[in-house]
Amino acid sequence: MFGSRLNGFKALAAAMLPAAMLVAACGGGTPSSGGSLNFTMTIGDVEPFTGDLGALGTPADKAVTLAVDQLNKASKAAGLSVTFKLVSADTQTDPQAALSAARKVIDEGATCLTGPATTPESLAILNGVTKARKITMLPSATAAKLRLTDDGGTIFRTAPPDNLQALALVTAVQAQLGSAQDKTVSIGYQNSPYGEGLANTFKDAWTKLGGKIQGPVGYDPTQPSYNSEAAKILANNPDAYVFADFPDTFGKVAAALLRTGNFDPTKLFVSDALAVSPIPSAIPAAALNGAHATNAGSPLGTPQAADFDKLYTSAPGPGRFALDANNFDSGILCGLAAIAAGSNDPAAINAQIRKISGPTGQAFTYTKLGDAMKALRAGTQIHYMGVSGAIDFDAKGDTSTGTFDLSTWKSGQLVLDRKIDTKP
Amino acid sequence: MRPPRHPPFLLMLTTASSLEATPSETAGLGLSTGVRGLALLGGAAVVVLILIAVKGYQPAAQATANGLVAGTYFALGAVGLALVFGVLRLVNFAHGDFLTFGAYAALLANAFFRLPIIVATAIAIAATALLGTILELAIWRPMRARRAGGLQLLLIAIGLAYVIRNGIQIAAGTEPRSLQVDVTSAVSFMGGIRLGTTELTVVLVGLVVLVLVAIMLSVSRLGKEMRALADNVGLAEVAGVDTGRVIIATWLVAGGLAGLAGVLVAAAVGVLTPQFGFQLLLSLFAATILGGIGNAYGALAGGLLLGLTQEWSTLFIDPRWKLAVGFAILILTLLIRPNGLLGRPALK
Repeated sequence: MFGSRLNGFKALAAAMLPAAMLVAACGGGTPSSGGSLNFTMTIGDVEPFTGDLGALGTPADKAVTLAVDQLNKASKAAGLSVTFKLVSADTQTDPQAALSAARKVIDEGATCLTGPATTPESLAILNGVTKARKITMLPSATAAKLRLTDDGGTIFRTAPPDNLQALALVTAVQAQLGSAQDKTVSIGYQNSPYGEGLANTFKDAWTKLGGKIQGPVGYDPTQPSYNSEAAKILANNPDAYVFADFPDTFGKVAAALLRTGNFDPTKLFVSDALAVSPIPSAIPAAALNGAHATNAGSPLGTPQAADFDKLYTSAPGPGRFALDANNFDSGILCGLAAIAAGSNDPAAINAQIRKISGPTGQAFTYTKLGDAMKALRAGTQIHYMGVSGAIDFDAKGDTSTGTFDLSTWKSGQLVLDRKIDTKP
Repeated sequence: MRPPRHPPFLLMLTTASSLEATPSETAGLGLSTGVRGLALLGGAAVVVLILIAVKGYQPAAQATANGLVAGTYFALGAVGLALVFGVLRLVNFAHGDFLTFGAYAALLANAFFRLPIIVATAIAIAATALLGTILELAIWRPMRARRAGGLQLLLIAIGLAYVIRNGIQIAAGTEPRSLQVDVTSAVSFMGGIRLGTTELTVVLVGLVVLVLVAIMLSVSRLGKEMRALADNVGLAEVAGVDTGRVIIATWLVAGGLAGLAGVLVAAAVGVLTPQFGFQLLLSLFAATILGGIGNAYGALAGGLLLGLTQEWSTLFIDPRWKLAVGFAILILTLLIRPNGLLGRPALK
């Protein structure tokens, strides 16, 4: 008896649901210029809190949390009744778990995703849920391979793909050695799509310039001992060394490099995943002081980058970490796109992401987010100038700012040397 | 109900007779174990000589030294695993996370409370031994009392591994951390072999501890009781061994060894994350199985063999495949000797 009454309730609810959805669609789906908006937008942050990239999850989530705070403050300042909410889930650096994490945050109402951090996880989420539902995803995965899959225009990346990063590294090494001709560069990389992709792109570009390559030497990130690898990388005293690695593995490798007694940090060039300032405690400082790093966008030297550094370091939680600024920008882009769309509908948000990323439109940084929202509501086209760079999504949805910072560690801090433009 | 204690001579008789009757079937340093150990050492020496002839002295000697370092890590971690399996027939999937637990306990004492590393190590050993004992009293003993099957125990162990790992993560976060140890200074010896001073300390301490454990197992009363339990629980009980006490002692020793291994390896490696022990676990299992399941000397031999073959292989092939080489050797060894290098033949 009770059961049948419950079934009756279910039937009633089922009958009412489409009607309710219709009302919701009418209410939220009309992009209206001017006037006040009233909706809650949920941003889903799917990051590797555990697994191989476990060290990246917490700082990335902190960056997106800060972005949501900024969005809420700006919405209030602009007089809008839009609230931004964050739901986070752990991708475990594993494609299967990443898909579950994405499903979880989407079930909790997320209409725009920041993260995940690797290409295999991004592809699992894309094919499993976001492509079909037109939900925008802004991963911090940088493998060029990600663009081999048709994403239906749903994947945008605020960090430049690794092929550009490799070109920036080539330019930096070439400048230091005078020319590439007959100069030997030894490559060490973590055996992952990120490391291998970057190592191979660098190798091709360097040999094309007449340079020689030693290795590349790949290593498994889970090993306790890297002495043999270090000896192989430093054999025959190469002119420079390039590493594509993440901090927790590189900490172990760097100690082994120093123990060989043949390691010269001024010959070392590393990619953005290691471009962390100050030097994290897990990496021996002697391995990085004097070494050089290329880093996506313009994270150093712009006023918004300096402001973000203050904002991030004064907030509780972990210190600065690779790609934190990119994750922050991804969160802001989600929120601004919803304001531009005037709705919390995934497809409407997706349609706005490219429009607000430049290169045309009135430029705003995150410190003027309230003004940016007002401008959007007044029908003005805006260009969000990110902390990680000018963004300017290209046809594929990757940031087209091929600008990289070349910096050198001095007394534990990265100091900007100059900018390298990888675009012809 | 526990059987009443018998006079000690009966125990001595039982273990002594089992030693004499089937020396190869005990976990002790029987004659054949010693001979096989010597044969292994000889084999390793021949390989080193061949490598020197092919690749030159310095690279071959350096790879061998690197292999000894890695092998000591594996052996130190594996011996506690082997002990628990030998005495309790429990495949302790949480053993890797015991190592992580010990390392983080030392980190707390060393990096947070600024205690010297030796004191921190002692704290880590005590804390991990305590963890093992608490888990025995709270989980393993009640489960055995209810006659839980091997699969249930295995699943509980896997579950515990996650609970410990995520607990550490909740408390300490995921960022890579380091003990206050110098991991970059190195010494040269024997004509151009270079090893880190911390690595060298860890190898020496590790080998001494492993030999002490081996002596404890073969000589001390507790060691004999453990081996009696490993051979036949029923017989040991009848002979008056207080099984509950011996099992607690086994967890204290295995936990303490895991804590020590965690600190030593984390100190020498230089980077500590909550994944640290779990990432090692597969190699620890490999060392245990390679050496002979449940055999403490086997864990030592297996760990060293795994470390040496992995590092030797880097002389010839891309180091990123060294894990595959190590495990290919494991499979080959088991094809030839299904019970491992120093393993006992299957019970008749």
